[in-house]
Amino acid sequence: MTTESNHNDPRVSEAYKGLATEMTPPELDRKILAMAAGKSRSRYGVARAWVRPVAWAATIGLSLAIVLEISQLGYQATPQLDADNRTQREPAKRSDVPAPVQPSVPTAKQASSPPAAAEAAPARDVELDTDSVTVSDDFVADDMSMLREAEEQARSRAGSDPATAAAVEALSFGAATTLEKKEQVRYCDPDLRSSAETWYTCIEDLRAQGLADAAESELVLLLTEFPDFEESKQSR
Amino acid sequence: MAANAQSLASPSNPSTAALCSKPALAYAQAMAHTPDDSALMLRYGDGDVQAFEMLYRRHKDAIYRYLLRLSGHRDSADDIFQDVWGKIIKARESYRPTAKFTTFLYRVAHNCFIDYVRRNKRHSTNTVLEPELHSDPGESVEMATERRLARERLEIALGTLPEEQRDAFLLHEEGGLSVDQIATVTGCNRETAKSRLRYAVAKLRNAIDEPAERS
Repeated sequence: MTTESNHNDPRVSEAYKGLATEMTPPELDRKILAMAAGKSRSRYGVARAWVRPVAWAATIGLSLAIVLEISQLGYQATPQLDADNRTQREPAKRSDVPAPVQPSVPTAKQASSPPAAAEAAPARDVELDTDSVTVSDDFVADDMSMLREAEEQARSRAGSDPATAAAVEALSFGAATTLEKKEQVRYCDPDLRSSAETWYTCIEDLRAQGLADAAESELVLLLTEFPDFEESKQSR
Repeated sequence: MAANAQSLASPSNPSTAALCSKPALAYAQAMAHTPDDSALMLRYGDGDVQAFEMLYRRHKDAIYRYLLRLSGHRDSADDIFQDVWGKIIKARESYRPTAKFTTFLYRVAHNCFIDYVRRNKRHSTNTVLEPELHSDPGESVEMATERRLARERLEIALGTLPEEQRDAFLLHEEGGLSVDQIATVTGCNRETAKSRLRYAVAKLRNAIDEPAERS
């Protein structure tokens, strides 16, 4: 008989198994299973207690961050629009100021139209209008450079296609016309307008450039500002 | 266990023939159906209460009988039993499967029993438990009586064993622990554990075989 068999007697094992048939009392089972479930629940209960508020806080925080980011992007992307709006709103604001009651003086609303202002507005109203235009002058320069860049790019893309090239030409002509209209207003600076002689020199320059309409409107303004000025003397 | 595995794998069993043709799949399925004790404990550590329930149902009766035979009192066994499972529950997060789960479980049970005895100095293990008798329907009256008497003798002999020998025997029978595992649980060397187990088995065998001498 080996040593191993000395502590392994099947008869003793069988007799013991026949004897030991006790089972755990059901109330003990319930107690222990409840204890196990309770401990486990308490651990995860704690987790649940902070996971939900943290999740909400994170969601709200992220949403606020996104909204702020979007609003900042929008603010940066619209300065030009704001400036344009300002130039449009400015005359409207000025229109709130009651216009001086003078015969043959157009209302401020009428003066807000640039051609009308250039043709027949009295000096005061025109001055207001040119102020508003001056505000947008910086953006005129930007417009010009941007338009020219776009034009160059379009031309380079058009290549040898005659139809596309023609379309680009038409567009660039339209853009140039628009720019010219804007440029004519700013040809005569306030410095030049300080004296009738310098102002007239500016007008002559405009005529030399073929901008007759601009020259005419400037001349009207000059005559309004300096009624004693005689054109014929200067042209001689 | 091995016998069961062999019978399952036999070609005569048509239901397992398919499994035998795909051993990897069969192993995976077997693992899926009977998760390891350590895996269950780890799952419970992750919050899976059902894993604990499975683990508990697997070991509860053996642990209860171990504590009942060791303490000799139902009330004591109940108290220690709760203490044992309370410690197992508490250890769910720190548990690491470095050893066999059964060894860990019976070590906890053994230590809980020792603590209980220290706390209750008047504890005595001389009480003989009333065996729960279950007779087979086809068994004759003489055979049933002989079996009952043998169990009673075994019960008495088990109650009179020295505590260390009884502990070793119960760990072997209820926990299915090897000599090395018994040595680990009881904190003695292998030879001591083997000697305790051998003496216990020898005394119980004598109690069964030679009832006349004892009486």
